[in-house]
Amino acid sequence: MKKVGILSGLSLVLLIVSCASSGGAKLDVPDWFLNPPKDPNYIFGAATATSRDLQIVIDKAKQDARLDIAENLRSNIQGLIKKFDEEVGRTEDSELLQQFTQVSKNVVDQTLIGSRVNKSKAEKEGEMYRIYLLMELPIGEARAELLKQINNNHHLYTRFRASQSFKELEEEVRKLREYEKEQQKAFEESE
Amino acid sequence: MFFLLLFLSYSIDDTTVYPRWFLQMPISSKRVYIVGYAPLYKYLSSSIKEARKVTKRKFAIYRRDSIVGERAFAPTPIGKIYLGETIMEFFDTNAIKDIKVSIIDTAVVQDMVLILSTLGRDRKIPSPLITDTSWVDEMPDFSGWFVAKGEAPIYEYEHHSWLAAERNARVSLATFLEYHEKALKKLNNKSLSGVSLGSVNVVVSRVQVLARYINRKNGYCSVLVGMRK
Repeated sequence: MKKVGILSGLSLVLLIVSCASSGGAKLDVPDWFLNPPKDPNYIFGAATATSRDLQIVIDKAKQDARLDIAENLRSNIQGLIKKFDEEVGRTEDSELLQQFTQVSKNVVDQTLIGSRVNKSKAEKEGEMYRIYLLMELPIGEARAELLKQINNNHHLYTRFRASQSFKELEEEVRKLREYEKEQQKAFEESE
Repeated sequence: MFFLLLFLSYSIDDTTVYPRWFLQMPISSKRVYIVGYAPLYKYLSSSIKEARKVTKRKFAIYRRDSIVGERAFAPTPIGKIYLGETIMEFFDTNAIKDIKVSIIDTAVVQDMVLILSTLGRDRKIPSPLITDTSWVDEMPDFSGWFVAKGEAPIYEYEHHSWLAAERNARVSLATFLEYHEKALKKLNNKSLSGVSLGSVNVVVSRVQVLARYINRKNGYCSVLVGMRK
């Protein structure tokens, strides 16, 4: 009888605990994702992604995080604000409509050496995988040592290049490089 | 009884069925140890023959592996879209026929056969470098090693998962060494468009598996690889 009482008590406690924890879907977001660490020797990039395919979700998050880091290192953002003034209606009830259209274009062209996943957390949300990922890039450190491993002899596969988007990307990267060269030249001449 | 079963279901590790040398690879400065996988066929000898082939192939990859290709994504207002990738591994397949491996241990795990092999005749199994699974969540730092990890979903045939995770880990290591990022993002009030392209072109050598981990609950396996600095 005493055992039954203890079991009933335990069951009640478990029931209360389970009821208390089932109040709505709780997002288990890691703290390092919300508050990426700060370190003078590293740049961090945090990203999350979802997909039905585990490999795609990892690749997407890695790409996002690396892009974040690359943008932090150096990016070329060209902003353009267009302002449209439109007057609608007659004089007494005219309404001035101002429409702002902001257009920005961001080009990144960066080689990352030593970028790697520092922390990650993968979980399943129904049929989907979700991953939280923290990418780190050492600043300066170990860069020269890693360069030894590089082999630039292979240059393969150009299927992606056929699309208009990639042609545009290449064009923008070319423009950016030219701009940088001009800036460098102007700087050298001014010295 | 219910609580006992509940406790047992949580205390049984996902990786219990695998031999220790599979999960925590033996590491030696003198020789390399490689695990070959194959499905469990009707005749065990056929499985071992295939696992031996896989092992030789891995030794060739260990010697020198070129990882080349691109991976493309497009940003959209609803998130990033994966466009595809062309990342491939190139290694010297001519070297395979000259590789002589000696099998140190074998294991049958579920529907696959594992063989632990090395070059030479020393049959002693040295200690592993990794003795826990903390690397799954947080990348460790080992002096003298560059490390990277790769994941793969658990497929119908589990040895495919391990092969894929190993390949992904090698690609991760290559992208760690050098990764070129190019992106164009155009944003205005109404639309977001552009493309981002990551490319890798790296030659690695002496990359070996340091540890493996399987998470059946979330349906994936992880492999940690290392390359001596």
